[in-house]
Amino acid sequence: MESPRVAGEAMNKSKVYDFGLRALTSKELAFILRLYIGGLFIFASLYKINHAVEFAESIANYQIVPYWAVNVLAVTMPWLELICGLMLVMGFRAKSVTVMIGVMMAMFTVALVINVIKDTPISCGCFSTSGDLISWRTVLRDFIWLAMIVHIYYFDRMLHLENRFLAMLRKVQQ
Amino acid sequence: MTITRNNLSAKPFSSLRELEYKSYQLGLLNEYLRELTILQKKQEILERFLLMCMGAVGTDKSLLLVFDQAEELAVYRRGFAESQIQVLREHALSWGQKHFSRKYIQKDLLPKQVLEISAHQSGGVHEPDLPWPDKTDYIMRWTLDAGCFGFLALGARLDGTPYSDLDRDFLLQLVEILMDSLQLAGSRAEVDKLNNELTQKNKELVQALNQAEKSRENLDRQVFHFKALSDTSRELSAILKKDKLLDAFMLMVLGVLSSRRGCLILYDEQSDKILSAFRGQEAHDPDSLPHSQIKDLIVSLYLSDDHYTDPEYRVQHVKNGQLQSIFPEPGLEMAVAFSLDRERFGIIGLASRLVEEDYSEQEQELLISLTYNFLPALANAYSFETIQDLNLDLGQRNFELSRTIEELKKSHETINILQKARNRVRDLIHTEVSRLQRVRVWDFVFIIAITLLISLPYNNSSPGGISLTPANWSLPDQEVTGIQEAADRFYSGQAIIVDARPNEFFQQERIRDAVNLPLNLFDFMYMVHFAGLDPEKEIIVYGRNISRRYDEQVAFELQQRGHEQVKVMPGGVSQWKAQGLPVKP
Repeated sequence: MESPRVAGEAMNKSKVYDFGLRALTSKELAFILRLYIGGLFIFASLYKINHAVEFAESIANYQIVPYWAVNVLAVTMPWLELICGLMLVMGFRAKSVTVMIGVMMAMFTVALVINVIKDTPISCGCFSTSGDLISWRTVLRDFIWLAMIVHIYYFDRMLHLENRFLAMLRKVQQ
Repeated sequence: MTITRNNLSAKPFSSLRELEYKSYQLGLLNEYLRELTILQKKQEILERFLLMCMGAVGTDKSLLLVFDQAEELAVYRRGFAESQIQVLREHALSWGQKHFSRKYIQKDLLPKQVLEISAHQSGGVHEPDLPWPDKTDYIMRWTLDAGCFGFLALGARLDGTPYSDLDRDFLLQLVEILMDSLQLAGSRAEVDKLNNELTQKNKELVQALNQAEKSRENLDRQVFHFKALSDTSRELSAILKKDKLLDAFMLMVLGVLSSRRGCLILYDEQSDKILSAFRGQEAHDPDSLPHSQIKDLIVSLYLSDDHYTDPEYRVQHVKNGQLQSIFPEPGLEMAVAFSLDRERFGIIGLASRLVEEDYSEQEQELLISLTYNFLPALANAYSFETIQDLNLDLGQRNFELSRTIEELKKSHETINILQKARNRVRDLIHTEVSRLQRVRVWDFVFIIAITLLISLPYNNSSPGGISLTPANWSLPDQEVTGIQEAADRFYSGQAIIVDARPNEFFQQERIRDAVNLPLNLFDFMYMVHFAGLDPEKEIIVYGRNISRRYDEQVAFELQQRGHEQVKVMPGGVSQWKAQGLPVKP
């Protein structure tokens, strides 16, 4: 009487594990995460685009970028975020965009970690100039986002708005 | 008492009267000889002889018995009564038979013998063998040859005198004349008979010749018929079309039988068709014929279904009466019905001949034979038609098959094209997917280029836009001071130290007694700390990092406010601290 229940439980466990694994690695999840990260980047960029001075200040606060590049970065970085965010949401060249976003996020995280270690009294400047000072929590948050980006990279293959069908038809017509 | 002629001639003549009588008798003999030799028939000769005898010797009764070859007895009489003769006849017949049988033994009996049996001077004479009638005075037996002999009996002379020697001589000579005449008549009859036989044979010969001629003609005709038959078979077997076959056969039949015209109607019940061939002087409209009646006529000839294929009944003669009751034209004189099988049969009718002769049995037979020859050719034609139909069918099917194959080929080509397209699409999808999954450098270049293209013009036109170059690049060079010098002057009170960094950094670590003057709060802090400051007072500004030159900017601002002694200390808090100078906190 004992063993079947154990077996059943084991089976249940493996079932749950399988289901969880499948859910975790599903393209649907990747799609949701893609929308989330894309939206995040779009949202982050909107304020910064119109407040370049403040963003430049934020960049400068991190004391990583040389002084001559701060303004250029402050002008271009929000736009880069916006464009990458939009492309990710639309699913246009999603793979490359994911890599790009990942790189950006990684850079932010590195900068954040450095400054957390240095204990620089600055706010994140991720969304706006105001906000809490940076901390390990901020670092953790970035890492979570980074993990999401990695997930997207590996599992995203849904609803890509690319004109590949059009191109395909054109080739068939030849 | 028998006297031969020789004995008689040897007797001398005594008197003149005798001589005269003799000459008279000779004259008579001569006359009688002439008369008798003229006569041809034996009967006439004998009749005449009887009369001559009676006249010459002067008696009114005479009798002549003649036995001839056939053992028949002929009796000639003058003056004797029939009743007397009847008895004699019977006896003579039996005697004759006996005599004949004996005579055959006595072969030495001479011909042309005359024998005087009896001569009575008066009264009746009775030959012991034969019952001669009464008043028979003189009997003589004569023998012409083995086949002809007889007796001459004479009655008494009218004057009552007996028969003299002269008379008997005379009678002997007369009988000789009779025998000669009979012989002559016999020869003549023989010649006539031979002549008749010859004529008869001649006639027979002529008849035989005619017969031979006729046979030859028949033979010729038969040869002609056989030739016609063989020609028919040969020519017909080469014709494979039914219409042509019927026409050709009809033409041939008319030619062979020399008919004026003819018709051939073939009924095909299977396909419900009527084929016909009309030849000759007048052609009929085939549709106008009473086909149902003709069919009934033909069917009535075949008593059972087996007859249609039985070789004995396949071709049958149609009687004239039956024919004329159906055919509208009266000219048809001969017809045969024929059948190929139960469903295909027909009739051949012929009108009168070109020659003035009716159709004979032979012609009828020939027509039947010709028709028998025609049937295999007709069957052949049917077979050929069937084969042709089959061929046609086969050709049609072949055509359809090849068309199907063609279509299949086309479909195959289409399938190939579709397959290729499918492969291409699949490849395309494959490349697209792989492209989608690949990270390309060009994507980065593209994104960065787009970013630059949008962001830079936007920054230029935006009210919140900033200069791309660092602010201090546009400022004049500032006077720089070292840490030690700055510390000396600060601690000697000749100078004040300003921290240009934002307040957070100032709060975190600063040179002791330095005043915080961040750019964002410049006006306010200036008002608080520097409003009353002597412009001549030396101000040392520090505060820079990798990203910002706060000191230079603040120094510039201070100069703008009228301060002349403004110096920048690049070393900042870190070097200050390294020199061991006090920092706070």
